[in-house]
Amino acid sequence: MKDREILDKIAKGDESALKYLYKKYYRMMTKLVISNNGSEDEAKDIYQDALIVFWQKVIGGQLILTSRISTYLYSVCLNLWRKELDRKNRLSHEERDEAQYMDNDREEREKIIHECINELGDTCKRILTYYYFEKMSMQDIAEKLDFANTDTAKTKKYKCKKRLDQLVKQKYSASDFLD
Amino acid sequence: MSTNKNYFDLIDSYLNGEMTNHEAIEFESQLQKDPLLENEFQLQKDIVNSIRAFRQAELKATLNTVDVGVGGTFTVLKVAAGIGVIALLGLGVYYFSGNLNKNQLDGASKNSSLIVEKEEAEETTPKTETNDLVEEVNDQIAKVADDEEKTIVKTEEPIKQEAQISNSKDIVTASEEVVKSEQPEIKLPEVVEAFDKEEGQISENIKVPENKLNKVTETYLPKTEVVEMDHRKYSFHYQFYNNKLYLYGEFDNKYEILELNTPAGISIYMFYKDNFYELEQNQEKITPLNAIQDSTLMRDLKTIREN
Repeated sequence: MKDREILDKIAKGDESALKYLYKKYYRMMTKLVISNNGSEDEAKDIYQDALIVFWQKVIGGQLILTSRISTYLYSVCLNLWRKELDRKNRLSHEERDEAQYMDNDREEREKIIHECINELGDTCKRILTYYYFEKMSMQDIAEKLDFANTDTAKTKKYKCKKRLDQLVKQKYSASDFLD
Repeated sequence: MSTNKNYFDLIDSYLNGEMTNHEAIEFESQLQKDPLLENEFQLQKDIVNSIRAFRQAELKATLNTVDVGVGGTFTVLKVAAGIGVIALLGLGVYYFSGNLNKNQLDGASKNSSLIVEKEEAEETTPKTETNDLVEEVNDQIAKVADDEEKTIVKTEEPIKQEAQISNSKDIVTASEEVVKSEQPEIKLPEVVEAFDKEEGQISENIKVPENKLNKVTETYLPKTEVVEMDHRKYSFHYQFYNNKLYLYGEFDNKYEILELNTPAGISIYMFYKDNFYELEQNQEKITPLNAIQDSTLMRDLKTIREN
């Protein structure tokens, strides 16, 4: 597949194009991290993150690519890995513990919300993730999920979000997160 | 308050980055004034962030199902996989000729299918050897191994059959083990050590003092770490960065790095496709590779390389 074709497919939220891209540059991108003091797992993680950023930006229409995809991905990987190395170096042990503590709290809440998301139907999951993560337009969401029109998508999104809010509030109050 | 659609929309568009700067600032000042709104906002922020994390994890999980080839990262694996293929092939050829004899004796007609399959198996090799992609090599291994076993099953020599199957399996496992054990290694190219012999022929040009030669081989292990890079702009370039040598272009790992200890320090040369290139270690910029033209130096490097 040519870059153009990949971009077009990704813009439509075609996950098979994402997988194709992932495989295509796997070796090249992971090598970058591995040859800069990274483990293989770290390399994979960074590459996946970079690819997902790319995916998000292309779908959300936030990226006008002037270079080749590989060049772009390479620079994102490089930046992410630099940041990660910085983070590793900068944090003293104390700060790390504190960050860990904060993380635990956040993780706990995230876990609860995660459970709630899982309780939603598949359509709701798709709508909410497309809207908040990929930042697809309501029109694109309507097309992707075969809704009659944009208004249907909007109404559904509103209802799904309300339902999720409800679930979360129930669980929160059960676990004393809300006062 | 939480049922107020207006607030809901405000929070939503703030969190999704849809507000203009001005709107965002106004919203933030509203938050400060209204603790109930602030409370709701924090909750919504958690929820939206969790939806994002959910999707991120989902996409990562999707990517993790993609087969990138057995640790498609390292050239070392290519070599290991290549060895595996060759070993399997050798076994195949050996086995084939063995069976052929037997079958010739039997004069049985059924072995024609056997021969055809064997030839197929052999045909896959040249492809494999020239191919660059690890996963394809692995596919080929699988194919060859498959063919192998199919053929074996078709022969009617129960005792030999068993032996062969277990043999070929051994080899497959062996090559897999090689693959696994070499995984964490960063690829180190073949480095030619050339200090022990032919002292007489080394000219002034390289300036290796004779009395140092033997010592050097004992104490110094040449280990320039080489990283091959694909780059749109640089097709035949190099640079040194963080004590690593970066080669830009398609070298297919067919280069050799020569490290020579000279009074001035270590000189690094590269041999690639009949030419020598000097690599300056303080060259931190990406620089084109130019073949060495000096015939004396070339001759010396050649001598060193061949030893």
